[in-house]
Amino acid sequence: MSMDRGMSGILWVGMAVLAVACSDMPDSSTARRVPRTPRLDPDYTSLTIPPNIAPLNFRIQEEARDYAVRITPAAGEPIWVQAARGMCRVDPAQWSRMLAASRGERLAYDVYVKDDGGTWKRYQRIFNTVAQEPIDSYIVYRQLMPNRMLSSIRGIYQRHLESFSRSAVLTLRSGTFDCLNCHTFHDHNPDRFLFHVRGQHAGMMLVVDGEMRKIETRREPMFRPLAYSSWHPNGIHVAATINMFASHFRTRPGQLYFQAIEKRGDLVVYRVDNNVISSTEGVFGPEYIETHPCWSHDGRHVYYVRCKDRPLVSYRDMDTFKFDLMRIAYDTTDDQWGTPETVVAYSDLGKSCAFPRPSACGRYVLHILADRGTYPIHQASADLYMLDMTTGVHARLDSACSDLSESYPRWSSNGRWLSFLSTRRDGMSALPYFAYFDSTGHVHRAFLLPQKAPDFYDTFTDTYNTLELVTGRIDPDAFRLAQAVKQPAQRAEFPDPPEVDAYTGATWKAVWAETQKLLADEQRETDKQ
Amino acid sequence: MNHSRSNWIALGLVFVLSAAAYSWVFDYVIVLQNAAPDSFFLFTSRFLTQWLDRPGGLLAYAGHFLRQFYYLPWLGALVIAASITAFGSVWYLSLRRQDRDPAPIYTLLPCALVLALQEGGSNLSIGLAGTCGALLGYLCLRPGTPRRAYAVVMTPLLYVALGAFFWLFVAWVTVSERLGRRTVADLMFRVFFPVLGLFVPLAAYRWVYPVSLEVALTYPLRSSTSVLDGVLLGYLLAIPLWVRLKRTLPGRPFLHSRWGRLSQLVLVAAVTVVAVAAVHDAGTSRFARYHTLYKERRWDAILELTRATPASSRMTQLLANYALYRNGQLLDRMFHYPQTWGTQGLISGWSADPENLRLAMYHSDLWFEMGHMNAAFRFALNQTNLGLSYENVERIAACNIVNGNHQLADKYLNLLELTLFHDQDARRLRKLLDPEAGPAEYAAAGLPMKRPTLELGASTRGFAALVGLVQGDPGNHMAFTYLTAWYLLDKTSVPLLAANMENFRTAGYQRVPVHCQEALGVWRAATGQALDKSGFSFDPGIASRVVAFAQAAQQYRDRGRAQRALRPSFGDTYMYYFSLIRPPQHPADASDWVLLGKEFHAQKKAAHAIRFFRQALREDPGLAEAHIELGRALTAAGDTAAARSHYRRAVSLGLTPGQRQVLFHNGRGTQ
Repeated sequence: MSMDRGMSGILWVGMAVLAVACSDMPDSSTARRVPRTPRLDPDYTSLTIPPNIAPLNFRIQEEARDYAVRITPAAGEPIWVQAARGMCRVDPAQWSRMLAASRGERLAYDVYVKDDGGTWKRYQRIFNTVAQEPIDSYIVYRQLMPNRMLSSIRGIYQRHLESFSRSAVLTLRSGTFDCLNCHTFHDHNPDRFLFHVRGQHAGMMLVVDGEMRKIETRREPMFRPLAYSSWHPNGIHVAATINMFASHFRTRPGQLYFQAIEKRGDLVVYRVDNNVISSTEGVFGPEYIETHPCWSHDGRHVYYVRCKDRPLVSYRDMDTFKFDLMRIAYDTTDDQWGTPETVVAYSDLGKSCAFPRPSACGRYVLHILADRGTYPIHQASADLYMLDMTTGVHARLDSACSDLSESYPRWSSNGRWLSFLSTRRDGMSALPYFAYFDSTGHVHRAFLLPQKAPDFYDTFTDTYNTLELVTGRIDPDAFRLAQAVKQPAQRAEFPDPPEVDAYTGATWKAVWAETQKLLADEQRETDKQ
Repeated sequence: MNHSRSNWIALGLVFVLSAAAYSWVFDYVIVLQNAAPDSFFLFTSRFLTQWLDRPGGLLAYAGHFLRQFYYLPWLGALVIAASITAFGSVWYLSLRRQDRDPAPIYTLLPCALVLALQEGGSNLSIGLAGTCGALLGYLCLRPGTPRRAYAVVMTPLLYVALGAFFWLFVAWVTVSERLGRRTVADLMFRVFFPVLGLFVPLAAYRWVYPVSLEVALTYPLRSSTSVLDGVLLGYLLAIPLWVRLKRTLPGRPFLHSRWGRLSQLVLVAAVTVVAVAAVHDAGTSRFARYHTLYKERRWDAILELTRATPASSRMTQLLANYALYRNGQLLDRMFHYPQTWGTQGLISGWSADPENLRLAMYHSDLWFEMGHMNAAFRFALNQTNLGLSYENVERIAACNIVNGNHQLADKYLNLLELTLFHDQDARRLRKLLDPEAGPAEYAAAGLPMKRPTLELGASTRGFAALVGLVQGDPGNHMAFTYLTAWYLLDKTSVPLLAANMENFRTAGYQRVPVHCQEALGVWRAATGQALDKSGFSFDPGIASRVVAFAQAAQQYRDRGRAQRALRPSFGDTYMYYFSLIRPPQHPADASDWVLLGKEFHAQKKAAHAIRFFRQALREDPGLAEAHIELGRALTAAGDTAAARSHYRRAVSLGLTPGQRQVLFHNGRGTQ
């Protein structure tokens, strides 16, 4: 009994201490002003944020004894946060209510720190704006360990952007699959998507309204199965490329990581309804590497990037692979291909284009420009660019870019938000960033995916990959997907392939013929001499 | 007589003996697990949650928590001893709930088996202690509903926490209930509970864990496949059931007699000795000894150990060679020690085989010390495929500090700071992130400040990387010494030594080391060519020994007989190695030279590249790739006529599709 009494006494004292501690909030009128903004990590300052984003928790990187943050909406009650050890964690319910009431308004952040003398100081106020338009509520991404030669994919995950909840869509069940990649959604719809499985249970998984089909997409003369894909707005046609990459773990002081380059690539269109693949010589020929397909929003063109194939002997040769922005017409009513058109010959500018994403309005094409190849995530030179199709002008999105790599840009379903990956934090882990695209075509400052723990990224050694914005949660659970992956694959048909060498793929036959011709010419010259 | 006191005394002995066994007999378990990802533990919720994706995840987490104390070997031994004793204690208490006075042998026998099996590095004792604890809880409750309710609740919890260990509990409860009363309610439970036991892992597999069915049913027990495991689990299953059937433990009258007590002691001692002897791995133990000496930088002790028990593994040869280098004796005394692995026992390039992955940090250390940060970083980074370890995390941070990527270094230092014993290392390295940190701070932290002057692809194999390092900095003493040792070990590169005698001086050598003199003596004898000594004096005694060996060797046609006869007199010479030892591989072949040539061609150093490609063709004139690459380099150097002839030769040799394409593109340049 006496022990119980002792315990309850301790509890009461503890609660009293807690109450006193909690009541130690700064008085804004008496706090001494610091004429600069505080250092925050992640840097959630001067942003435009979605009205449905999870709390932007951050850490105050100022030396102090105690910390407090007041977030004041344009109208309504402020939120006070006692930020122990500088960790500002905002209550999700309060935050959600505040954002909902602040659409189109600004939030003012007052950061207070208490110095060793017990004096509260207030930093210059920070403002973030809440946009009118929400962002898609989920992201779906691959998580993997970066830059390793051995396969080290943890799986495909989905994260609710309005909270911090995360769940696995599909993980690499021990020894079952070698690789999961290129998950692609039809119009941001979580009920209609595909992804590819490599290894033991290889195939393309099609998930349409809960029905799951597995397709074997490797048909001669394709040298590999389908990889990068994009759904037509009609939800039937899928533009896809067949790819082969070469890698090199090249490192140099200050820039240390894995390098890869698309070495071969051809473009095809796959029809979900009749399981048929088609292509045309203009995008399936021996001369060029085609990759990163994406349908225009009106469904009339497939945008992609293309580079003339060339030898890759040394890793230095990677620098010669520069991709142009292309498009090709495709008529879905009679499955007729047009001819390739060069949208911008970026190789002439010494740049290489990757991941073109036409906007919903049809006016812009969001893409990446880097010094070489189509793996921008490994290049510090890789930046986000926007091409205005009405003027033909392309411009770097300075407000979203950094000194390090940006890659894998995507539009939100309402066309008001961009998502992309960037290694700007440490040069190795690619992390998700989001930026607002306003009605005037201006891109606002990008912000990092918020996490419940403000110091989450300090010890996060994995990398995000293939990040897609989706309007809802993927329904089929990991078990059902995994079981479906194990089903036998249905073979896709490729009834009328372009004429290429079936054994050596789309390239070697022609190259070999040309080489023979060259050598014969040379022999004739020698004989003459 | 009451055995309670005897049991507790016996358990005390278990603790002492276990601690002693893991201090002296199984000490290698602690040493090697501490160096592996097995003992990496972080005090963060994220580290905890990463284990929760499998049944028994909490057991794995607890195992990592305990193994972090392996940092101090004596503490590790105490932790293991405490785990085994904890298991013995709950097992004894469980037995006592069934038989009021169990003889100590019933407690001690499984402890002896666990003591031996813990050597496998499993979480066996924690898993068994947890399961026996659950059984004890079950037995402590009065029969009927509370006990059954407890069993129903405990079954899924045990499964989540301990994985396949829960089967023991399910089996105990199932059989125990079958032997109970026979009312309708009892019957329902008897049917229901085994179904629950089966349903739990199936449900977990179906809805909870992203693991295969096999893993759901057997993790983490599936790694235990030895006979001793079977004996232990069989014993643990059988004894409670025997008590349930017979109401007492077997052999009770005899075990309570004087002879019975004596025979218990003898039997337990015998089982312990047999079990320990059965699982003790002398090879691993010796390797752990090398590892400890290496970490303690006791080079003489490593060499002494190698002399006492000549190395048979690649890694022990590697460590012995490194010890020789640290003692400044590599080129003078390397053939005093076994070099049966040839160049593979000197240094390796990157390879993805799992064995290399486990031993990656030794290679990372070598490359780090030689200044090839890229290779050091890559070895460490790739080792993280097995999991983070204290060593690879620290190395990744160190490489990135030297290479100037401080943000990445900072992240890995953050990880290290969350550990119990390595936070000091993190703080020591973190000082270097200060932009003001200078040579003194770097020296204090044991890091080179100078970045590599030559860029090398980290896919480059060992030999080419060594050449590249020396080419980039001829004063790189370690790289030069290792490269020279490579020349000696691969047997074919001695001409390069002869052609570059001046390099010894550049690398800081005041004299030509003994084995190099021997190798040059062999070369002169074989080729009859004169040697440019570059001002070095040669020991006439070594020259006469070369001649003496040649004369002695002529007497033997059979290599085995020659080895036996010549080992006492010449076993420590290059001549003996050159003539009589056949290393398993001969890695510095033509393709190495091609690789090296490509590296230099890529750096637009055509003259170097041409030299290396020509060396490749000397090794293998039929190597089409070398002809193509030489053609490319000659084209770059402006000698298109010579390039054309090499392209023609390549075509006549037959080309792969890739080579055809290279030829096609480069052939144009020679028009």
